[in-house]
Amino acid sequence: MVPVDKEGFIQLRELEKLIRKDTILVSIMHANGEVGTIQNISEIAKVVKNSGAIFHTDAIASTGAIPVNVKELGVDALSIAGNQFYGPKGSGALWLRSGLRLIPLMDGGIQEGGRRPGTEDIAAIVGMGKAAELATKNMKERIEKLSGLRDALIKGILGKIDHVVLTGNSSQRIPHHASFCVEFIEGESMLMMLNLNGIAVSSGSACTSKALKASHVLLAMGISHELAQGSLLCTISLDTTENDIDYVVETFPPIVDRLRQMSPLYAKYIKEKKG
Amino acid sequence: MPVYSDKVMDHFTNPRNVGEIKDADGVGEVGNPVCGDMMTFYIKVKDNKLEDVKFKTFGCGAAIAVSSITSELAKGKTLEEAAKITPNVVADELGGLPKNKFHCSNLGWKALRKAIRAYATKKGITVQGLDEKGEEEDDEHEEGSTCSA
Repeated sequence: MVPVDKEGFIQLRELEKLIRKDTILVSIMHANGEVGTIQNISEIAKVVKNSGAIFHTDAIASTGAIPVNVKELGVDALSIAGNQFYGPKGSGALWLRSGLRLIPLMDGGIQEGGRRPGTEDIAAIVGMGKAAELATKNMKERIEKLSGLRDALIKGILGKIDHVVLTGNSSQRIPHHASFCVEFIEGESMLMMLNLNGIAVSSGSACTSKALKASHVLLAMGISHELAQGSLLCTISLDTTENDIDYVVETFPPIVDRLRQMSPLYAKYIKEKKG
Repeated sequence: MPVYSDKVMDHFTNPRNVGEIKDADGVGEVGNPVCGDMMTFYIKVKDNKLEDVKFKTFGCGAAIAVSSITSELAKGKTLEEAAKITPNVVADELGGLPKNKFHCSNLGWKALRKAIRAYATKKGITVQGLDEKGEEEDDEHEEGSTCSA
């Protein structure tokens, strides 16, 4: 596992140290779906190439959202998923540099050149192709719209609520993504309150996960267990409006306030502050 | 997000007895924020009865609902009656809890008993139904142990 810094960026020096002579594959996410951080994949690719290992990137959170060009990135393999850019759920693709051969994970079929057995879902494939075409065609406008709304959301939440941190980097992040950690309260209760108000978000808190464990992503970024409990992830779609963002920015602070009034951690903090 | 019963949602959206009792007769704090749940119960005792019960909770929807119903169940009861409240009673009262949220009902029970024990120790009295040692304190100091469902 390659360590990351507090904004979720891969530490190149550490990566260099970790790659051994017998390392055959390095796989690093292009953008992280939980904190939105976009890695500098082309820089990382140079390091990996020098070592002779194969470099794969998981570009599921980035493809369709920002320009993704395998040549510019310098990768050997790249994964995408159609549902991330308004294509059908269940569609996806693995791009492989020509000449790169792989041993299939599943055997028993001749489909996809023997790489993966199973009858291809033609409708999903066509749907993903069309979605990719539209995403490419409208990328500039989409980025402008989404990043504008995202920045308004970040500004609104950080401005209106105390003791909230943005997770990830403020500019090197996917355009439709804003993530936070709210101190003194827990993610699931925030989620439920927001949901009751018609706002659908998600959280990486222990309580929201099936394993009841805090997000390994946030912990790897040096965020404490306690703060990670208050994690909140908002994604913005092309259908989201400025009014929607205003509504979230208006609705969220009283919810935080209400939960903090119930929180023994907040009570402790206030006491310490006074004392 | 788990599917909660109407009763859980009711107690989550309108929790009863939230707050602190400044001059509480007993305080019980359980859980830790690492697991995502932490509860503090405050009790006020008069004539061997729980005259007032208040709580503060850091946690999920179930944790808040559990705290609320536990406080409601305990309020007005004698110490002995309150000591009979078990995690099962709490979960049943709430119309059931999702399996992986059951440990939350344990926390409500623990916090209440801990507050009663604090009072009993202070007064030098024995409350029937409450072990002397503190059976509910077994695992809460081990980090992460209360996280497992």
